[in-house]
Amino acid sequence: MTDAAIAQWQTLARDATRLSDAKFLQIYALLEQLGDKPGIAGAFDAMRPRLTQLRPPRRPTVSRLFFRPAEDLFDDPAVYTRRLQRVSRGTLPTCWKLVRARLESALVDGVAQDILKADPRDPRVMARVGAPLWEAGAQALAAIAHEADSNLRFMVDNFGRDDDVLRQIQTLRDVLLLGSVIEDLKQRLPERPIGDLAESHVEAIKTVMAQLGGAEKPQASAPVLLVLTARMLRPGVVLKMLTDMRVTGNSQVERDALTRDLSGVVVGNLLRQTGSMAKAHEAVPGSGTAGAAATDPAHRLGALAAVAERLTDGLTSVNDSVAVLRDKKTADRVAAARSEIGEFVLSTVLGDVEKTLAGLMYAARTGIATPPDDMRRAEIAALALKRSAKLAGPLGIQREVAAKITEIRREIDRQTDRMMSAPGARGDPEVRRQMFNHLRLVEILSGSDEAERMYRDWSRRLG
Amino acid sequence: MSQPKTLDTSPGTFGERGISVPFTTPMLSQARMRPNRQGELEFLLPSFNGGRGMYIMPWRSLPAVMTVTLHDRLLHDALLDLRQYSPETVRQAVLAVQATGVAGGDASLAAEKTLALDTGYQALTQFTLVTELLKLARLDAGDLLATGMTGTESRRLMRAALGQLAQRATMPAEEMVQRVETFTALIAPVGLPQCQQLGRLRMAVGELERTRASLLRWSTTDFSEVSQLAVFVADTAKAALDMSRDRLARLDARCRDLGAIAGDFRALRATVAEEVARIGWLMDGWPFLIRLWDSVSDRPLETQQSTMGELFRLAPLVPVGEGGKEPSAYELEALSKIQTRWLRMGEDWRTGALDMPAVMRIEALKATLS
Repeated sequence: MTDAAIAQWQTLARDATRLSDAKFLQIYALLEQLGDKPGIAGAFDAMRPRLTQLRPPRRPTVSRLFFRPAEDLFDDPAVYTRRLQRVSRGTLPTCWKLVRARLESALVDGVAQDILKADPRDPRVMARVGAPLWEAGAQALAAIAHEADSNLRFMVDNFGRDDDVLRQIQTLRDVLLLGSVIEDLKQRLPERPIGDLAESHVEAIKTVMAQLGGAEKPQASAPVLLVLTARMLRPGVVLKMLTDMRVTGNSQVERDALTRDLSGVVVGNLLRQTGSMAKAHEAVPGSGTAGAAATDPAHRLGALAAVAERLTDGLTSVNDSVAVLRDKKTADRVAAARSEIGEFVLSTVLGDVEKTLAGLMYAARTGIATPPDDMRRAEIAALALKRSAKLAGPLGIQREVAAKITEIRREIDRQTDRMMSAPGARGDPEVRRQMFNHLRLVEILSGSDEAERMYRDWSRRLG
Repeated sequence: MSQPKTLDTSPGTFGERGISVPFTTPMLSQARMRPNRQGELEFLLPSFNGGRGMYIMPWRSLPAVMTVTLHDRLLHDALLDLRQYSPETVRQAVLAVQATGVAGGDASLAAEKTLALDTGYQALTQFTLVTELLKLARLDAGDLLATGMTGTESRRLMRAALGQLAQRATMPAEEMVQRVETFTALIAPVGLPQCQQLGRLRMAVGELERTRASLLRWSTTDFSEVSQLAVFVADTAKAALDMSRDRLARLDARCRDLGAIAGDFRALRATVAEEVARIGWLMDGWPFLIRLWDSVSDRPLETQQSTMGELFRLAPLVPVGEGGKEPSAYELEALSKIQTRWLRMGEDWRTGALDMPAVMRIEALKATLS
């Protein structure tokens, strides 16, 4: 495919993001049928933010199954950062082309046949199908890395002159070598992003660590832990498990080195994500797209608050690990990242929430009560502010968040007062319904005690 | 604050087991309620940290342990206003509070729809009853079956038909009307076997049967220890199903002879009331669990496993005094350990703070219940 054709595909994909969800998914389905071609991969890159939101069922292919154990480490080329043991999606097509050429056709055809027969929604079956592919693929990746390292022509022809690609291939190889173990563990753990772990989950992780080398060889678990930290809401939990791991003799040095490396990677990734928050802001559903949920300001606020919460939780969870690193520069960067997230929350969530709520709750309409769909959105917006309030302490923005909540509460009180003072308010079911709508917002923003107080007060007024 | 008591043994009667209340506070969700000896309401809360143990607390003790949603506070007020406690009266209070909108718009719409369906089904039951009575008396039901009537016209014709029936039975027309209305109100939750549409509890039995089959299927595909919890929940459902089916069969047999409405009505009323109430108790708590299980049917295995822990925690055992198995018949201790190992403790469980997204998930489930 020529460069011009690739560019055309990307333009087409970008244009598709302005269409309705249904049309957009139709175009995605058509592109899917074209298979793994370099131009198509670029088109998918342009479509990915919206695909992440819509999550259409993906057609299983041999190449997708091949990369599956490592998918949590993939970044779009635009946000990919070096030396964080991540893999740029831009590397994947070439990588697969070279691996495919080294794999036995019988193996690839067999896997393709098995995929057709398997239920793609059953990860256990897919893991069984993928196992021989990951083993052979990891060996192929090792051979590719070796050739790229020793044959400049091969390197330049396939990857250019950037050595970083070799590091990415190394990461892929390490993960795929343990592909079956990783896929099995993923099934035993909660869906990503993983929040709280049950005892059975902790046990599953520890069992894998023990099987891979345990106290004698903690380094052997590194690829598993790398994937795991990428799936965790609070990756510090996994780092803590590693720190708490009992080791003996020389392996303590190995364990400490691994903890340091992983901590560096985790913290680096969180900082990278914080740095690209502005981009995330743009990629949040809605920016430049026309999907119903995508353009909705309330959903947008909810998504922004979720980004801030995830990063703050992540940074808080690695506090101990940052201390272990004893690296003042990293500690300073973490502190700076916190204030950056704080600024982000102030300028996005706090900046828009009042207007969004007012637009949904008090817009001129025929009835008094907010329609159910608008009310649902208003609750999402209020929850976004409440989420920000939970983060306010660690981010140092308590005063601003509290002031915003007070302002919104005052407006709710004003609107309720106006509504109840109107003639005929008593006995009007619409007024009563709107009273409960207001109470829902009060409960989200100020808690149930305050909502009950307001309920008693307002009910008395309505008689 | 009074100290919460813990209850590890199975209750002897339905009354001791309490009535499940669909609260929206996550820690209170599906708590069971019963009046104590002093007439005060006490709540049996499923164990916070897993297992099948229970905490018994009066309402006033709850604020010290958790933040309770406004919905639950208003529901508690409504429960205090009830004169009689049964799954049926509690359901009415629940729907009335839910309809206000305090648990969100979707739950409110669902409650309004359910209340309207209840009213419609009651009318259909009464209509079926009257036409069956007319058939029994070999009177013509033709006028009643005409289409396009207004509600008022239909009611007038129904009264006229009941007047005819009363005349045949040599009793005052008002007495006949009263008996039919009383019988309708009693039987409507289950529905008459002659009615083409199933009553709510009859549907619940069918849904529980479907869920039981789904749980058993799941237990054969999950290779973890959690499959044992699925078998336990399916067994618990089977006990409730077997007893419900027996009750339904007896009730249906009784309803085949509706002539008793004009005869020994007192005995008929007592039997029907007893059977319907028992079926209500047997199904109590299951609709929520059915929806909970349905809600994860397309989710990954781990989500289903953790939901299975919830089902185990909340599954309503048939009390021993009501024909259920002795708790010792189950490996409850071993099963509780499995459940605890698979329980994910959210922040609200540790701090008692209200987790609004979790509240909203429960509200969404309420919106699917009818």
